[in-house]
Amino acid sequence: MPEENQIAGQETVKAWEPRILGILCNWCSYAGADLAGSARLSYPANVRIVRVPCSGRVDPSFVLRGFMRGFDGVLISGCHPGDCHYAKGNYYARRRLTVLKKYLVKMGIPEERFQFQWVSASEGGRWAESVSEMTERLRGLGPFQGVALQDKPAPHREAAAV
Amino acid sequence: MSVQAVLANQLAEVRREARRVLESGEVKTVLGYRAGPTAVRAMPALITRPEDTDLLVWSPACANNLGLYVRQAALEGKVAVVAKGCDARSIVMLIQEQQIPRESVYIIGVACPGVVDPDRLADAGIREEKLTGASWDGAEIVLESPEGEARPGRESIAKMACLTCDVHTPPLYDILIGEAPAIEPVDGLSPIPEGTEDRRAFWAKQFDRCVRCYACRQVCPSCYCTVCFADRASPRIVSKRIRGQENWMYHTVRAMHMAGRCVECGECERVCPVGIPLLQMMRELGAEVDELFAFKPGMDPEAEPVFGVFKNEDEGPEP
Repeated sequence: MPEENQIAGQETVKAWEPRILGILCNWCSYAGADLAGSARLSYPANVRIVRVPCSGRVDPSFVLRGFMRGFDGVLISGCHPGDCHYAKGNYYARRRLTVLKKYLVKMGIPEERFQFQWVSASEGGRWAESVSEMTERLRGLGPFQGVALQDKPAPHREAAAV
Repeated sequence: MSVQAVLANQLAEVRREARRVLESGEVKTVLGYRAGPTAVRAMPALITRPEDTDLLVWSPACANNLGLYVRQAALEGKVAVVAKGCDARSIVMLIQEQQIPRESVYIIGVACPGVVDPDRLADAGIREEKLTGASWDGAEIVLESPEGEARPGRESIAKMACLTCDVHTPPLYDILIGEAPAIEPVDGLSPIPEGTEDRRAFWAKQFDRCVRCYACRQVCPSCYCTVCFADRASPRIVSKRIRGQENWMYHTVRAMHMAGRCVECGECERVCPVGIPLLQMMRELGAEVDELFAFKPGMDPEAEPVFGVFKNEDEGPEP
């Protein structure tokens, strides 16, 4: 949105862009994202990708840490059920992440900010689409408000500053 | 028969059974309760000599979940446990997760209508040091003092977990003492607001108050990791700084570790020095797990842990 970057009489200000933490399994989704690249498909550069061996490797704490660190959304992508390189890692992940999704809502993180999907190595287009969709959705939601109250300096630091 | 006499009979039965299993050599130790500083605070007791079984008590003061000590005690040999519904659920949870074999525990099940929370007693304006005893009349808690008996009402003095409890009789026992009256769980106690944004603000405020004493972790029978993620230097999942977002991280990861494993005994909430409604959080999560996978932890010793198995038809993203 280049026009929003201009404020009258001022230098260019960088507009807010959603940041997505992508956690992708090595065997399907990471290869799918790679395919999207080699096929020259264009999709928003808002996603930062972390590669994991399997969606079963995704500890809920990865997702929680993403939100703690201020990501606007977290996208987890793995092999379709039945296609897991390790046979059943994604089945375990499915149970865990389904509960995590419900839990995030309970903690006040809208479910639109967390996406969990299957993308195979041949679905470069599907990967590009899902990132575009999620980026648009997060633009609509606006920046994530964070999980904590504004951090105050610790008491001893305050004392030291005086 | 007076309510005190009914309780005294149950206590006599608990002591008799504890003495019997110790004397016969069937168990090495007995886990139970002994008198604490006031009539509404009992302490956990580990008893190894038959003559010490006379120290055991059983009353609405017995709040602790003894499931916490079972793993440790079972290392020394078979252990008998005086178990309320929640204690027994913790033991079943440990059996489900293969932390202890079924043969290593002898469960002296006690039907429990609900215990007293001394903090709530203080809130209700009752001085616990004046009390001389406590017993049950059906579901109601009866407090005794030199002035006579008082029934301030279960809803105002019982431990919060007991108000929402629906397992007053242990799901697994070798002998059952007493009989629990029919008690409807009380609804509408949750202080957690509806609405996603309100919830975010609510928890941000709650976790900001956390002092990270880890009492919730120490008291939890389900938290048995040798090294907790919160103490681990590598990988450092959460920093030790007592800041809002690190506290949030600690509590959310802890909750995810508890999902499908929490027996909702409410010990975490009872011991929390700043009063964070941890139990309510766990109840909501437990209800989700139950709805998704029809699994309630600590009920069936044969059941497999919910995240250790899967089904083809589990709920998940569209293919």
